[in-house]
Amino acid sequence: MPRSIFRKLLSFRRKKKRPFSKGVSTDRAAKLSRDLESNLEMIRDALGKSMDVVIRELVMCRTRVALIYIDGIVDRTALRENVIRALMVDTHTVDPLPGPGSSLVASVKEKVLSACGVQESREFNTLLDGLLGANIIVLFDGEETGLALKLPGFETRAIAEPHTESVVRGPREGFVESLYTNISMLRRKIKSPDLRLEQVQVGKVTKTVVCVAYIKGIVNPKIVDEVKKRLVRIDIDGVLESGYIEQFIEDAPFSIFPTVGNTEKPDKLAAQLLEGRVAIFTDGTPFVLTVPYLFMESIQASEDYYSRYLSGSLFRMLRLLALIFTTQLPALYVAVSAFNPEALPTPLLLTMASAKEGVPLPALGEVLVLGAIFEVLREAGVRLPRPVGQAVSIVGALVVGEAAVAAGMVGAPAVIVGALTAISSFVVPSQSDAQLFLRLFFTLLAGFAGFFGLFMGFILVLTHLASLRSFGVPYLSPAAPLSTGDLKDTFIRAPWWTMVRRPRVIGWKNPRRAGAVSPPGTPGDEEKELAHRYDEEGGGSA
Amino acid sequence: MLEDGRISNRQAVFLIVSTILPTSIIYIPAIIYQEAAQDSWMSVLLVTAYGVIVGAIIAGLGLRFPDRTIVQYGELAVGRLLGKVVGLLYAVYFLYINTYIVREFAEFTTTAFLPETPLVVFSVGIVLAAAYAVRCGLEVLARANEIILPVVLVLILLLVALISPEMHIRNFTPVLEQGILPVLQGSYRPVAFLFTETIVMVMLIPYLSRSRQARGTIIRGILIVGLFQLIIVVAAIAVLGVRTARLEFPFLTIARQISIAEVIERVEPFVMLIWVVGGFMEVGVFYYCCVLAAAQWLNLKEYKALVLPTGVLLTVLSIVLWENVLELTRQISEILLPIAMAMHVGLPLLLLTAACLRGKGGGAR
Repeated sequence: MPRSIFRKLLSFRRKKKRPFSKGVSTDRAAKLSRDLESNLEMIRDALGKSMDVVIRELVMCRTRVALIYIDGIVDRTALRENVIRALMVDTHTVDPLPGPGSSLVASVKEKVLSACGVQESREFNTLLDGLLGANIIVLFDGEETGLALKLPGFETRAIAEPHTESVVRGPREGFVESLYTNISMLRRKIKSPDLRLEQVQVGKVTKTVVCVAYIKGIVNPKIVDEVKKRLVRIDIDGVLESGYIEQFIEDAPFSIFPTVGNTEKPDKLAAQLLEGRVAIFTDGTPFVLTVPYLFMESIQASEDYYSRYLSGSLFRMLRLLALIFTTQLPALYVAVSAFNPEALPTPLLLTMASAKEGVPLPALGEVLVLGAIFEVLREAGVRLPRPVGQAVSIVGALVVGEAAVAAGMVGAPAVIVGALTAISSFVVPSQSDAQLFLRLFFTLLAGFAGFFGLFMGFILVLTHLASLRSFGVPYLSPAAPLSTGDLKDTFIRAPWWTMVRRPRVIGWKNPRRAGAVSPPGTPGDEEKELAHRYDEEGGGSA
Repeated sequence: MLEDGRISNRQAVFLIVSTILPTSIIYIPAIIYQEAAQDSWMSVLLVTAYGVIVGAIIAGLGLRFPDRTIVQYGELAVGRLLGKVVGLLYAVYFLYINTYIVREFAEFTTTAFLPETPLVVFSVGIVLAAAYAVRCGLEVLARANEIILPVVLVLILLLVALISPEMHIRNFTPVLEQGILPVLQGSYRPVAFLFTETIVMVMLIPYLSRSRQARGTIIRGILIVGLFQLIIVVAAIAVLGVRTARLEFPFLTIARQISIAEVIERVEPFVMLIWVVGGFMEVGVFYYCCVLAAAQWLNLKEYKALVLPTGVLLTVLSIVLWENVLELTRQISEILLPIAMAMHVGLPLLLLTAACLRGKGGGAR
């Protein structure tokens, strides 16, 4: 019996790939014919009776012309003014009987249509793809060539401040769902001819446009190639969010740690590209992926770079501390109270013992229950509509914070630990999934073997982290393998004028990013003169 | 290649320190003090010098064949048959010495921290963790160590700094009360083989990114170990004085004595942290060397298949070889010490001489 199951599993793996969509009836290489009616018939065949497909026929210079478009995703004003009106009225420049060397289609394209992107094609499928990608298709009677006019026009969300990475100081714009808007936001930040944006189409059915962005000359070309290779390998019907892509291209699919980063903010993305990373835009989502993604990025925030370096460094270390807190605190509490109570100073020990008096659960139970309750409350708060969310948090605070302690269900120290853990968990949002697993892992180990278990867990997690790579770059770098130059921007954020080089581990080419090495306060001759004059004038107005 | 990873020379220095330091800081102060008393710190200097010399021998041997491990170049140095014997000896020896380390680890953990937990829990725990790291490869071991070792060293310095109010300079006097002999004796005992554990480099030199600088790497590693050993021994003498000899684990006692404003007290968990993560690295390095040596000896393409069997063997041997801790300590000085001397110093020296005489290898030139 087990053998047959095993065989079944194997056969499941060996199953042959089937072609994805059988619905498309036309074969791949179909060409347009000279007869307009049969061409239209082919389109009707391919699209069925979809209500949003519009076929508008008109006559231009005694030639029958058909416009095919999908209502709602093309720009109607432009369609009316620049296409229909042009074809009907402004055709005096078109030679109705073109001689050899020129065609009706070409002259219409060159002289009549005032759309930005016009593509000529004989392939039926190219035109069909264009039609579905917000193009207007123009077919002429008696011609084998059709035109695809790029005139997208649909409603998108306005650029707004993103919810995930809000800042006190720094640009507030965030990416939106439209790929082209997002790319334009990046272009506005980096006005270099070296910024390259390469298009890849992913998803057999959704045909989602995915764009690989990088700065040539800074990026490691091997990483770009690897990204493209992995993107091309994706074989799936639909891509609705960059998360799909992430899960197909990540290095460690079985790890709890993410090896692909994401951001919603153009400024952060620009900084990533300038360090030599590769970005992957996905149409339809504001989340842009960045690779390689290193562990240290999770304690870095864009504001570190905008605020002055002392506070930037301090907050970075605080984040690291919070990361340690949120993963270790419950485990430490369990290890101390269940195994090594003598590790605490005596007064604190007594306080804790008296607070725990009459609590039925052991420390491990307390911590696990509180953790579970907190996760449920948090999840409820995220999913519920905002007004209800507030109610949930009040109930949570009252029930868990007050009543549970008063009723003697859990001890006050456990609640403090739980609350601290919970608050700290919001400090490093990019590792939030990993944090939850780590916390549970460490807590259980501490519950079984005290400090010994905790330290063993520490070793295992560390080894695992050391074994990870993101697109060839070790996950723990620049701490391990140690790259001393890069440490300037790891646990601390050194002043900008000292960070002359780009991070070595990522952008190994063209490492120099800044010129000045001297601190900006060093007075040059002009400044000295200015200061002198200022002193002579008696300190300005004062 | 069995291992296609490369480690930087700095990572190798870190690995050497991690291989030697953890066991030695726990066990050495008492051992030295029994012989050399208040002059123990001189013994540490002597031992370090000895370690440097042996390190230079090992490096000299390795540098003649910079892209081979001892299992591979043994045949070149002393001929096919003898070379195979040498390779086997080292593969077995790395396993053998590791059983001592695992047992020491388990014994100390249970005696010092968790007296009610059976030994086997710690043996299995540490070997499992090390097996995972070894499976991930040398690079991962080295990278994990790059995080672990700084933590260990900082913690050691921190503990010594915290105990500094309790130090008494008078514990060091009189200097050389009994002459130089006790100092020499103090540096002979198990101390001698711990400081020559750079023998692991005979397996690792070919994987260095700059293997030609292996000599400097080994010596730097030994010097760092010596420095920290000196700090520990000096602290032990200064704080505990004559009590050092009678205590089993002076370093632990030092940590227990720390009391700053009655808030920072009983910092044993930190000692345990040093011990567990340091012990993990130590076991891991020897484990890795053993598995790699065995795989090369058997001409395997992959060493991963050997990780689990070796781990099982390691765990079982570490439990069944000795009845109790007394037997363990006795065998360390009576059996392990001579064997270690032969394997760490004698055999490399022989191989080096043979290679020189036969004119084999010349990577150093």
